[in-house]
Amino acid sequence: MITVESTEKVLEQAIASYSKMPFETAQLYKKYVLNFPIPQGDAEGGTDLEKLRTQIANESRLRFDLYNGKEGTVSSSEFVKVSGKKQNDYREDANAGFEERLGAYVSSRSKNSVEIDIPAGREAKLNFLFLCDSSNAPVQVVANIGDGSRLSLFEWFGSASDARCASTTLHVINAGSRSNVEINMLHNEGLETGVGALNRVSAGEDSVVRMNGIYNGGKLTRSSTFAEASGRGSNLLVNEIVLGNAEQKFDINTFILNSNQQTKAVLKTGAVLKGKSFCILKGYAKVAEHTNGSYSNVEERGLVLDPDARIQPLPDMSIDCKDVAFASHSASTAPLDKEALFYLMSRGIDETKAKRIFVASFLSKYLADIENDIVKEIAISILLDKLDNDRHTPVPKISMQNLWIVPKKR
Amino acid sequence: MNVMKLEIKDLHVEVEDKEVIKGISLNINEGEFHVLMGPNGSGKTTLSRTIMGHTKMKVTKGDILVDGESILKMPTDKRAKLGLFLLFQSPIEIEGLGLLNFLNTAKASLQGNLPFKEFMEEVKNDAKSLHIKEDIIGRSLNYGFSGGEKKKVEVLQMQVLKPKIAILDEPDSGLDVDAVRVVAENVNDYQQRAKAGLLLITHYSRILNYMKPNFVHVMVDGKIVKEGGRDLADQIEKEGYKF
Repeated sequence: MITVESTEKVLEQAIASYSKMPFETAQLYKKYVLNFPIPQGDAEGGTDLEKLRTQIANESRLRFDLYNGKEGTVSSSEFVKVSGKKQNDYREDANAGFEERLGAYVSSRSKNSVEIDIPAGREAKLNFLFLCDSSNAPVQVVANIGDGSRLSLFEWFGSASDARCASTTLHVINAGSRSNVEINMLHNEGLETGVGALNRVSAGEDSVVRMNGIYNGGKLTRSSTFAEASGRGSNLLVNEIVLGNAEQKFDINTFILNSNQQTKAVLKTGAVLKGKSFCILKGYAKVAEHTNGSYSNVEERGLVLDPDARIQPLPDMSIDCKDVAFASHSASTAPLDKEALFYLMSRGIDETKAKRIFVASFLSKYLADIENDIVKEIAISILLDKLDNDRHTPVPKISMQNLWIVPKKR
Repeated sequence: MNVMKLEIKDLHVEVEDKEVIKGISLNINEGEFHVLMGPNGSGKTTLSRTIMGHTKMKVTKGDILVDGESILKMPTDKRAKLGLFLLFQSPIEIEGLGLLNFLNTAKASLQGNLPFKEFMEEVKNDAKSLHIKEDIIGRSLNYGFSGGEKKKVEVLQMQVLKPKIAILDEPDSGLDVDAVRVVAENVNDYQQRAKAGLLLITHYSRILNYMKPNFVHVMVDGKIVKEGGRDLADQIEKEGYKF
């Protein structure tokens, strides 16, 4: 017999676990998980990463301030230090959850820990290239951005098209008060590579933090992001773009938290899927107690281009404050809009081009939030290259002509 | 100079297995101004979408010809390339697609690339005559536009893309009195400058106070039931669609 007291206790425990992260704990969501095998050792085979690095640098016309590949680390910035230091306290426990296990793996196996330290009032624009192959090369990046500083970070994650390895990363980002931070992560690994990403972001008082994740490569991607608008008045945007084709699989799990007053936390996810690709979008927003005047929004949108492609959006929200400015969560998925295609074609645009315009327009809603124009250019080129040619290449052709994104009013 | 001829011959159209157009014949030549009036649900919009080749409109009998050639098997973009244009009653919103880029792409598809400076000059002049605010040009296509702005942007597209025969599906609906006048003046101006053929679809004769159509056709229940000149529109305004 269940007593009232024990029922309350069960409920209390359920609420407590739900408040942490429902996608990991609530029974309802347990079936929406893609199993990401944490590597046990080095993978088989090898790749000429130097060649790949040169090709990517040439095509993107970009100088990488940090290159981390098989041969080690090349760094050239006063703000970046590379060491073997363990940056977190994840436990090694085979029975622990995905985050704990991935965190423990990356921190214990990473040969190079990247530390970004931007002193107060300084400004930095950094480009990193992380390549993985047989060594698996887990990456951990810790960034401390000082008060009033600006950081624009672009990270390109890649591997060769046939590299059967795991591209695993751990990010810990701490944005100081009044700082302005943009983190752009482009996952363009080959289609035989597994992608495991763990991100921890904290936005200080009156800071503006944008985290843009572009998931284009990888055979199976599983990401877990925890982003907290922790300082009063902080403004946090997590912007995610997924483009899948063939049999790619994605499990994108993101938790945004308002933990102080007058904070803004927004999660925007847009996914375009072709072929037999599959994507689970898990977006959870929590507005903590006593965070009066906070703004929280989760928005998941999917565009399905082929009958065998599937998107499973799962937006969720927990509002524990009685005086929020705005709180909402929503999701929608749809095929190509035939009325929109008719409209475009009635202006003389052929069907192939009309479809491309429609998909590019969908993606541009997310790309427009990227402030770094070079990243925007590279991202749209890579995404359109994949859409146009129905292929994925580690070094796609990058063209300025594709830049026709509506500028965002700031 | 050869003028473009649009011929609709005994056209029957089904939408989702229901016959909506029940035998319509209509000829429109480049330079002529036709008006098609009719009550709600009479099939006017279905006719306009059939002419442009919407795949949901199934032609069960009859034909649509341009300069003597059937266009029934022609995709929509090819019909536009022949010189046909449809002003939409409810224009589609596409967030993320810049209006200017869209117009430039459409113009390049129809007429080849124009130097960008020249193109911009043309767009700006046409937008000014339509009283379109400058910031509209830099925004996403129809996204967040008011009803009036959408209709004006449709007319702007017609002016920039320069069709030979334009079908205008209720360009006046949802517009205030001043906006109706501005739209009408711009359509008149385009028709006279380009010597274009027009098929204007409307419920009300209000917009016709500013226009001089050559022919008025009245459509009821999928058929054209009466034809005449400008005075027929006045009669409808007074007496309704009782024929």
